[in-house]
Amino acid sequence: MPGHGIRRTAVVATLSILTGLAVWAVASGTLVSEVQLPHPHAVWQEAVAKAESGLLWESIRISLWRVGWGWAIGVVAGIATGLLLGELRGVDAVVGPIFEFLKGVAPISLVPIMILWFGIGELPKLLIIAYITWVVVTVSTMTGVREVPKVRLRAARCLGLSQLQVFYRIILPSTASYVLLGMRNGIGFAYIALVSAEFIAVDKGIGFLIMDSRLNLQTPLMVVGIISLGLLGSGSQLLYDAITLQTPWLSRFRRQ
Amino acid sequence: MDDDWKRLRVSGLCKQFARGSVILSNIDLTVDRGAFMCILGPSGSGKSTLVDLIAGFEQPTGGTIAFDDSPVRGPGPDRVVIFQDIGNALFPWLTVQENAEFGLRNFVRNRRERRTRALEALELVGLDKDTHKFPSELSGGMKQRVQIARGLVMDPHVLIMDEPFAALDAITRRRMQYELKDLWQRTHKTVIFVTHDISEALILATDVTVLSSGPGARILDTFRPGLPDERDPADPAFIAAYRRVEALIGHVQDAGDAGRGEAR
Ligand SMILES: Nc1ncnc2c1ncn2[C@@H]1O[C@H](COP(=O)(O)OP(=O)(O)O)[C@@H](O)[C@H]1O
Ligand SMILES: [Mg+2]
Repeated sequence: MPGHGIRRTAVVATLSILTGLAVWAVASGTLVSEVQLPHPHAVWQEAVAKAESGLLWESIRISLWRVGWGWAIGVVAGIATGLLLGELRGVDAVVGPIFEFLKGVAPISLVPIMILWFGIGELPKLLIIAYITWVVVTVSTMTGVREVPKVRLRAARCLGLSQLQVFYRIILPSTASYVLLGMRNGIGFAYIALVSAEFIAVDKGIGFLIMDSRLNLQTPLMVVGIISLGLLGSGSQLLYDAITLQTPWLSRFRRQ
Repeated sequence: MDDDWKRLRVSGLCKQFARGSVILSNIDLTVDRGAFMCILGPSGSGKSTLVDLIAGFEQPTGGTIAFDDSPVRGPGPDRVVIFQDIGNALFPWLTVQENAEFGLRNFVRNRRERRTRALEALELVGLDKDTHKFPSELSGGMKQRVQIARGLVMDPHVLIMDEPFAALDAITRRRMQYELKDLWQRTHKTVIFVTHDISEALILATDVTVLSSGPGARILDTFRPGLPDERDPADPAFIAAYRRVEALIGHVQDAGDAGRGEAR
């Protein structure tokens, strides 16, 4: 049954991608000049060239490294913060709106202050990605803790659990599905933050590739960068879904 | 905890929530070991508040709750509660078997013994064929049976049931009442059973306590229905008992309405 759903999704996705490509191919050179929107064929040739020269792989490698570490750090910090804030009764009412506000602050607006505080090395880049992931995962985890039904806690207490046992035998498993969802949303935010982070100083990476090719008017390369970013972003989420859905002990926590 | 207890005694119990009105005033109640005590009262009369105090989820404003002379403090496995909230009381990430075993982890070292004990309890409620299902795969009645098994496994002094069947459909509810009655006759576990349903109380109870409508609920009457072991709602004695309780509660509701009228 789930396999059937996935197959249908794949068919629909393939069709919509092919349609998009067709529209693009027709529009380029007719509706829009090829300088502004290069033909798919030119983009493909550019991609092949940059793949052969190694620049594309090197850019992807460095961007994935940043997103991966930034996201992982943000997830760990977010789970810890979310559990702590969720457990402190009454605090969530005060802290919740602050985090909703932070979620709305676009990562790119943090670039100048990050440069000011941490210079232009790898650290501020990782921190921007980690920061936004942290906000997203914190909110989600905190919500999870707050939503644990009162009777579930009471049931555990009269079955003889201590407060500490209630935390790890009830609150953690009850919150797991919220954490998993927060981590997934965090992936999207991490990629948005990645591009912002790679605007910091001249360097390498997919975000840098996009910016740099604009300065040099290499539109095919720019499109290669944009598409790579999209593929990496959705690919990461697909990978995440595949891993979490295929892990039997995780599927328990989706049951409500 | 003393295993030779004879009665659970609630005396002079009062409860007022912070900045709220008085919910319970001066409640006295004695539950003998082995009794099936039904606490009957209209909605909002404070029945849940009363059992929450006995369970130790809430602290009384005044009065005491004690097994003989040892007062109860906080929630504990000697007073396991079966909740009305069918959807949230079980642990959804655990199977039926794991739910039933849940409380034993702190008390029984041996894994196999935990397993057998839980299975025994599941057999008692007729769920030994569904041990590998998850709560999301069970009907409401089955979920309540798992809750009962999860409680029985702890071998509590008292099983506290707060309107456990109120959210079930009428047919399932009636079946569960007779099953519970049968279970009680086999185990002679002491039960405190909360309900607003007069027939439910009369089918199950050895003792009935009737609460007045709130706020500031008090005990109107405590009596033994004096009905035969096999209860039949069509039996004239059953009907007579029903009428008596109805008159009592009707009287209460009138008094409550009058009281509210005066307050205005
Ligand atoms: N935590 C609480 N704080 C304030 N009032 C409460 C609280 N819990 C219950 N009450 C009030 O106590 C009264 C009795 O509630 P409850 O014990 O749930 O009645 P019942 O179970 O008989 O329907 C209600 O008026 C309810 O609003
Ligand atoms: Mg109630």
